[in-house]
Amino acid sequence: MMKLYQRLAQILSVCLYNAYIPGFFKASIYQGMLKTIPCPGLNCHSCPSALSTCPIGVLQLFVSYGTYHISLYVVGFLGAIGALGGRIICGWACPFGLLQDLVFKVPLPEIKIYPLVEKTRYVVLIGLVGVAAWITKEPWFCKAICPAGTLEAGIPLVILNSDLRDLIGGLFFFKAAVLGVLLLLMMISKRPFCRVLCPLGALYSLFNKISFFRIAVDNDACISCDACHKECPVGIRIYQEGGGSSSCVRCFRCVKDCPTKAISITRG
Amino acid sequence: MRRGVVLETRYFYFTTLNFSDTGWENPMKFFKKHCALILFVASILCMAAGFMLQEHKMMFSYAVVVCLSCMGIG
Repeated sequence: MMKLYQRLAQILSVCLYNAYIPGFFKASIYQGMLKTIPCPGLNCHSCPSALSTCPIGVLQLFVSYGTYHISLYVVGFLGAIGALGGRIICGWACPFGLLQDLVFKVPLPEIKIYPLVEKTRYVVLIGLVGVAAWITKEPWFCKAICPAGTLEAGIPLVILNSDLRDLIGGLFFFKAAVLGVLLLLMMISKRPFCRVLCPLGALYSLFNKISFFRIAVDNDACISCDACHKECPVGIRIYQEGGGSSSCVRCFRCVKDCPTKAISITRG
Repeated sequence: MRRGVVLETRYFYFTTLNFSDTGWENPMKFFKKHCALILFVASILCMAAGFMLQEHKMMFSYAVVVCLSCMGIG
């Protein structure tokens, strides 16, 4: 049941973030006042239907050109969400998370991602979104990696707009290749982008240990049956890593599926 | 006389309060216990400061133009 609620919330969030359907017919983007609100999940604002702004794009913009190099508005917005639920947006309201969950349904053998590799997301956050954007004044995450930008903005706008079609070059094909590789990885691994590359997930994961809503594991009641691991969308063993694990996306499926009720939601 | 009784009652009430529940006797413990709330309030203040500095307008002017970098063109 929890899985159904989570899926419904994910679909609802995709619809809310991308409610400007006329954008696809006009081959342009929404230009109304809702663009003053950052999107809590990873959703490219250059998508023809996007209503809000990508927080990672704005962070890079301020790092590059802002007078004090940090967007207080966006950092405060993301911090407030993180303080309440840690990575809860990754689990319940990220369009790219939904895509990864759906693509993983392709029946192929699964490969594991080493915990050390998962730390790469912090390198992406500090290195690409922070230092590289500050030094070169270019949004390197958006430019070279962001698969959400390629999928939601690049491909639709290139198909719909002939002027933009004439501008595509090597970088576009490179980004399309990155998206292709990630889609392949999504079929054989649980949420590889969230775990390894997403800077937004890295930012939210800093709050996982201290957020208001947390997951608590009662080790005395746990029988190590691995029921939580089987259902986990990021494939962690919460009874080993603890409720404050930085990889946990707070989907709360484990809370529902634990046969001994050793996992619970706490607040405080 | 009545005033003295009230003060005495207040003093008695103060001494019987259990401050260990809130962690007031140890600031570090208090901070750990209410970390999420402190961070939440700090984040809201940070967001308000950004709003007052007109950051949302800069964000708006950035987001209403098609981002060629996001598309992989520019």
